[in-house]
Amino acid sequence: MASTLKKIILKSCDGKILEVEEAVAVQSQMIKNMIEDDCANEEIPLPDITGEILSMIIEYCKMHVDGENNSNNELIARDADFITRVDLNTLYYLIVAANFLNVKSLLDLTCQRVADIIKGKSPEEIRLTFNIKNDFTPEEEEEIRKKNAWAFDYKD
Amino acid sequence: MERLPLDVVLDILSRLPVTTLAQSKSVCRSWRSIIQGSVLVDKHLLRMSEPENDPCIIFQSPPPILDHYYFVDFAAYSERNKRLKSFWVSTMHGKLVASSNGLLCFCNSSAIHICNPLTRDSVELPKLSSYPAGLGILGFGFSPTTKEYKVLDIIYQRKRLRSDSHLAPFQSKVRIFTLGDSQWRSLGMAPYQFIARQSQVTVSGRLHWISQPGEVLMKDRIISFDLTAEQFQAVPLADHVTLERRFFELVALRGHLCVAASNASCGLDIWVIKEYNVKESWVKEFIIGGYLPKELRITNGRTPFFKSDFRAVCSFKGRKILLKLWRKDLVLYDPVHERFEDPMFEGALQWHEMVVHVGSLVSI
Repeated sequence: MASTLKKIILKSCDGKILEVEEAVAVQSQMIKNMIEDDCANEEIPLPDITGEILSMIIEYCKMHVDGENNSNNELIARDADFITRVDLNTLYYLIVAANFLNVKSLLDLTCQRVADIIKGKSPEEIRLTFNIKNDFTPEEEEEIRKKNAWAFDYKD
Repeated sequence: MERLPLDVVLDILSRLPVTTLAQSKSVCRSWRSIIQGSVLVDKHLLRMSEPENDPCIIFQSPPPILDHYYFVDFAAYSERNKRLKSFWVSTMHGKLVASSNGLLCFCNSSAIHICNPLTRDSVELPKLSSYPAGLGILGFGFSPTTKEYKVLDIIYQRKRLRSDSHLAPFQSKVRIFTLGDSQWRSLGMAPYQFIARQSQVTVSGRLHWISQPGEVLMKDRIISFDLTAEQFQAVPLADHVTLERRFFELVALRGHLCVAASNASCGLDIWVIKEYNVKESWVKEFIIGGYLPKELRITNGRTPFFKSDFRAVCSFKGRKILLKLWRKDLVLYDPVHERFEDPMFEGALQWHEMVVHVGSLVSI
């Protein structure tokens, strides 16, 4: 069973070194591919991921490996607990990292979280939340509103 | 958001309820171009068609104003905002035939139309040579394999020839139209007469109807039409499926074909075929008791006349089932707690017909 105890060494962009069990690390399709190609014997540098974000991702992957035998509902509850603790800025870095490392279930969870934040918000509220500049003229904005009146009428 | 890779942005936006998505076009130029792009439209439609996403419902207003449709987006229903708002879209295409993959099919005395009520895109189909003749039904569906929308015209031929003492099998003339083609094609005759219902049921790329009980069809009354192979086939009911009353209807719940049959307590038994076309996989999944809307409940203990007409419409996340009562009241049934709930709509919802719809910005 030596292979299950094998550790993978990850290095964050701010120099933090993390040792991760292989079973946890292979939740990342990217690392899994590296192991299969025999490229994971030395430390793996992760240029865009900070130590803080990397720790969170490892926490998430560990939760999924440890929870393999748990019911689906329990995992959903744990995922929800994990993701609601995350603020919008951290969420952004988590998405970038989950996308880079290719952790499919975490990418799903984080994208759904952003969608849930957007859901039900007016365009103005969306701009404020994500700090997006409105680059439409008032006339253009009015035109879109008119064309999609059914959707705007929906608002309370 | 603009710093995220485009794939990720597409993934996030494809998860939005169609009402939020359409509004989000006015956030900024780059959002508008992504939302209007066909990559997102297709991705969004595919995701919203998955059974785990709550559907929309389109209600047709009562006569004489048949051209008003109220649209309710159940995906936009949240714990924070428990009230569902309906709003109308205007079309002039007559009777609502069916909804499929983001589009609606309408028919009036002179033409059949396919439209997306949300983008107002609409096309009129070529006229049928013998239209509107005979006793028939229209079917409308989407083939996920060929990515084509198809309209089926099934006309029952009244003449049934007698051979000896038996009636000959049913005869229906079948024609099909593929959206994008210039004309209808004949598929010959089919030995069925389908019971006309508000809407057919689509599961696994096939349309489903109930056939009238005929000489050869006593057992195999559920008939499917494969939208890719363009062939009819019976979906057999297993022997262990017992129906207490004769009335039953088909419904799709969470992507499964179901038989909803009236039971002895004026409620519904719902049988689900867990694995499509596997006869042994029919399971009686829900037994729903009778329910009386609150305005009909009287205190002196007498139960008023209660017509058994209780239909399943669709199901939602958390397994709740939307039911339609005989007076066109709607009620939500929670199978976990075996409780009924009144769904809350803003304002009185007056409607004539309803159809479950996947809200999409897809163009025709």
